This record gives sequence, structure tokens and C-alpha cells, in this order.
Amino acid sequence: MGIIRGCSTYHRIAVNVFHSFFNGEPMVETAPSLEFHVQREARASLVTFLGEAEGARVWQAACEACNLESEETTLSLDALEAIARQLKISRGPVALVGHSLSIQARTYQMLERTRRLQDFLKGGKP
Amino acid sequence: MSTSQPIPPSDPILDRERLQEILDLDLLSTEEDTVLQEALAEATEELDLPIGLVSVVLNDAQYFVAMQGLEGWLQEARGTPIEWSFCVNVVLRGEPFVVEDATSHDQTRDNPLVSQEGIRSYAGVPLRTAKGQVLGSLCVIGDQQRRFQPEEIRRLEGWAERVMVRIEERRRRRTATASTIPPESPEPPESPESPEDL
Repeated sequence: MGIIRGCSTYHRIAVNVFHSFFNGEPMVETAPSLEFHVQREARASLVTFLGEAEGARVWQAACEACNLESEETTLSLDALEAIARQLKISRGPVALVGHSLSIQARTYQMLERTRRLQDFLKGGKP
Repeated sequence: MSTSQPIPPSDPILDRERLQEILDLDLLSTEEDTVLQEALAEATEELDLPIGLVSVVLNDAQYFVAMQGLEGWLQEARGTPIEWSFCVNVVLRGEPFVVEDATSHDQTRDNPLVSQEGIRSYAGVPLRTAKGQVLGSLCVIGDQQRRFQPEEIRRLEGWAERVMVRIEERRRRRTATASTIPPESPEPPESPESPEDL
């Protein structure tokens, strides 16, 4: 839709991933991974709400609580879901960012699971 | 402005008071509310549409507080990334958003929920608090093109009003319950990661 900050690129990637999940089409190789963008958006939201230093600190603390490297460039959807759970424990905007991150991670996990199931039913490798 | 300071949000989606209201009203709870469910059941039945949602729009996602007729991964995920949300338009405009044919509408034709999940028509009205914040939308969704009459939008606004009355009631009940806790009760320890409230 491109009406929210930073959405146009993200939306394009989200659409690309969605289509590739359901149609079995290859992802455009040059597109950054969806996980990377979900992660980037979550970190950007923390900075928006808390400021650069505090946003980075909260992200790092959540990563450490999950035994993850905060400087890792691309975390898996499972790792992002774990970070989301940590953020949701907090109050105020951090909890909201956690909920948003959780929904995004869950959405793509569900899509992946659906695709694997479809592959399995078609007789392909799950 | 110094980069160490929080950046003020420039769009209604990131409005802090709006987001704080969503938290204060406990709208992210997964508890099922029969009043909200009944409102959606009535709306979908009267308008003869398969799907109804009470959706709140967060910073990067929408969350389904109540849902009727959703199946599969959407039901399980209980929300979508904000980029796929039709309801975000209700929050941005602060008024009803209607799509009669999502496949030809500028803002929805590229949406995966349209191209892959078969959404064709949508009508959403604001969920507005007493303070005037639009938290999200009560909406109905169809898998066929559909024209919505002004009277039908007014009916949706009536259900949205009922939903908000219920949500405010829940807040009053929680506040009343909290006020019955003896003052000497110890405060729960704060998480060291928790920043201050907004």
C-alpha cells in the first residue's frame, strides 16, 4: 500500500514471499529476506518510541534474554517470535512492539507451515 | 533534533495516546468476549457476508480482538502485518472505508489477501474511544464484489458503538477490581528491561 512509513519496500517483499509460498515460485534473489525486514521494522519501532539509545538497549536486552546475538543480521522467525515474547512482558510501547512482532512472525510461520503441508500433500518433500 | 531523542510519530498509526489506549483497554488479551462475538455474528448475518472482525491496528500489525468466519492460517495467526491490513485505512482516515471490488481498488488490488485469499469486498467503520482515538475497525468482508448501502454502513457503526461500550465496560470493571486490592499489597517487581510507561 505504501501509505505507512517504509511500507512500500516491505510490502513488495511481503507480497513476493506470499506468492512464492503459495505458487512455489522462486524468491527474487536480490530481495533481502523477510526475516531481516521484520527484524528491522521492530527495531525501528523501538527507536521511534524510545529513542536510539534506549531502543537499542531494549532490543539487546531482549536478545540476551533469548540467548541470541543482538547484532545478528538476520534472525529466524522462531528467534523473532522468542524476542517478541520477551518484549510483550514489558509495559507501554515495548509491549506493543512485541505484539506486532509476534503477529508478523506468526503470520509467516503459518504461511510456511501451510506451504510445507501443501508440498507434503502433493507428494513433495515437506 | 538529537538522534538520541525519540522521534515524534507523524501519522495516526504511531500516535502514542492511541497505542496506549489499546494497552490500557487490554485489547491484546486472547480472552474471548461473547458480546463482541455476538455483534460480529449479527453483522455478518444481517449483511450476509462470511467474515466479520474486530481489529485493532498496532504499529506494525493488526490484531483480531474478535473474529467470525475466519479459517486456516489467518485464524491461527490472529492478525496480519500492517501492510496487508484493510482496517489501517479506517484508522488513517478516521472514517468508514469501503471497497466494493478489491481487485480493481488502487489500495487493495496488489494485496496478497486479495490475490491469494480471495477477499473481494470490505466495509470497515472506526472503533472510536470516548477520547476520539480510532483504535481499529469493526469490519465485514466478502468473497464477492458487493455494493454497500449507506444504511448498512450506519448499521455497522451501531455495532462498532456497541463493541466500544463493551470494551469501556471491561476497563471500568478492571479498574474497580484493581481498586479493591488492599493498599498494603506489594507491587509486582518491575522487569529491568521495562522502560517507563508512555
